[in-house]
Amino acid sequence: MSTLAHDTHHDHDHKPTGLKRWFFSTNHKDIGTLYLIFALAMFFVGGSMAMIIRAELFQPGLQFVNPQFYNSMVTVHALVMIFGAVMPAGVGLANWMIPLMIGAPDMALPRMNNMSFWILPFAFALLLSTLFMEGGGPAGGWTMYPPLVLQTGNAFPFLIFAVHFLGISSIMGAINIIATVFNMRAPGMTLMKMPLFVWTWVITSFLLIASLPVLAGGVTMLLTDKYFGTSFFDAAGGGDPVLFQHIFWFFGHPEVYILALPAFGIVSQIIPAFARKPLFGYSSMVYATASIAILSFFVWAHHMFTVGLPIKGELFFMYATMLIAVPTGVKVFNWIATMWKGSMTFETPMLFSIAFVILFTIGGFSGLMLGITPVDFQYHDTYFVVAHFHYVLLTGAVFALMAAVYYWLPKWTGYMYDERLGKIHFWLSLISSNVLFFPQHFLGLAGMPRRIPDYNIQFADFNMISSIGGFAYGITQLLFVYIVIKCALGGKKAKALVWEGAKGLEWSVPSPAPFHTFETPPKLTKAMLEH
Amino acid sequence: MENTEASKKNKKLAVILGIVAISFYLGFVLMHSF
Repeated sequence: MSTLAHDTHHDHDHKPTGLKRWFFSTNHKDIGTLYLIFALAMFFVGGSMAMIIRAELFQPGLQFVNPQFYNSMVTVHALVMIFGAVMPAGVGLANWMIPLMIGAPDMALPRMNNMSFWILPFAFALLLSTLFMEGGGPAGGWTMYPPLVLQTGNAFPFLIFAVHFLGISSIMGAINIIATVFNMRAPGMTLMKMPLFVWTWVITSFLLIASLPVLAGGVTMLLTDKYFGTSFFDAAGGGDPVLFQHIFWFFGHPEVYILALPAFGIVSQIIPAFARKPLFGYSSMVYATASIAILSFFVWAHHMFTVGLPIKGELFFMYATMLIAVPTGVKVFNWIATMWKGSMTFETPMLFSIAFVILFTIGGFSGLMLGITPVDFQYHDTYFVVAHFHYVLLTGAVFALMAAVYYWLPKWTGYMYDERLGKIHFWLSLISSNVLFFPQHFLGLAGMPRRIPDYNIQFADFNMISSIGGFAYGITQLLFVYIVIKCALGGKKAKALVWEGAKGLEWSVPSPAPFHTFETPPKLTKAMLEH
Repeated sequence: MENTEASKKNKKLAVILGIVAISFYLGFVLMHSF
């Protein structure tokens, strides 16, 4: 594919310099880069906490940290990884790629875009500062259930304000994505011709706008319960602690899809490129994504089967949960059908994508197991749950994010990454993450509870194996940083069309993508709109 | 960004979505307040 004519005279591609470029940026590519760097930094902050957790669990007994600090690590690890690493990484990719994919010059609201990003470092400064306070950081779990969370010391208001800020940042990001996609598509880029990555982000944005205000409402009520004498969740004052669980999971389950849907979009871009075939069942992929998003608002109580819900309610939520497997199955079958009889090659993005399909499906199946009400009474709050959501979020969402970085890195930097090192990174990540999380299924089935710093001797062997996998996975990610930095600094020049099988507008601009692209809307050809 | 027709359209949509988000928030808190 040749580069578009209007981009060839971008040698005057002037951009601001110095710190001003980054602090006051309204450029979608720079803000995308900021998001991605921030997410990577947070991935290592949250990862260090995971290393502390796995070091403590390497053997039974208390070795390194006290139980209070251990609980803080568990809580803050989750908040950092969800709100600081996976979500911002997804938004970073959306910022970088959506305008390029739909032929827009930038995001619809560039100054709001800047604000959405710069709220994040302040929110995390608030949250992480609590670890150094008297009384320690929040330790009641990322779900912040009352009455336990109300026992948090000085960290409590910091936690609540941090969550509010994170919510505001994400909602502003979501509004920006919706406005960009609805108002700024190039002529000819109809909704059903958009790349699937764009579709998944539009749907994710609606999920964010509908679910995050609910979380914000819930944590505001926690704040007023603690400091202003209300009794939303206090039975003594006529409130109900289980109400918080309903509110939290009404946000929390869509949140799972906020993390997963962009990953589906990434994989739906990469698999057709390396199978050299159009995506199988494009429109069914769009409808399946929308169905998953809608259904995600009707399954929240499957996180609460053991609190004592009426049996009819439990059955409703069980069947609704089973129903989500249908559109998810459609997606998995479509990815497999795309690969079927394709001329496949196995570069690093494809390897991560195939691993995503297999391992996310494993995480999905263990989710189905947890969704069966009577069975959940056995699994609830055990390591089986920990194994399940790490398969979905690490070997699922994070693997897809890694795939995306390898796929688009040459477009961002203008250089090819080291393919041999990329493959080593993939295989080490694949093996270590499975050594880390697969034994946790067995621990959970055997009855090991989650969120404990010490455990019975019978769980020792699997915990040791899991910790070895954890350390190996952690060290392996340093290789990822090395590969990215090496690629940013130089290497083999990347062509505009980095991958021969890739389709879409982003491959019609030079590599690295110029600072300003599509200042005049591109004229779309049939080839550019192929999926 | 210049105040073009396109940017006005973007801002209008953003304001509508912002109002939706804020009403969800207030609605949820107020719904449980009475």
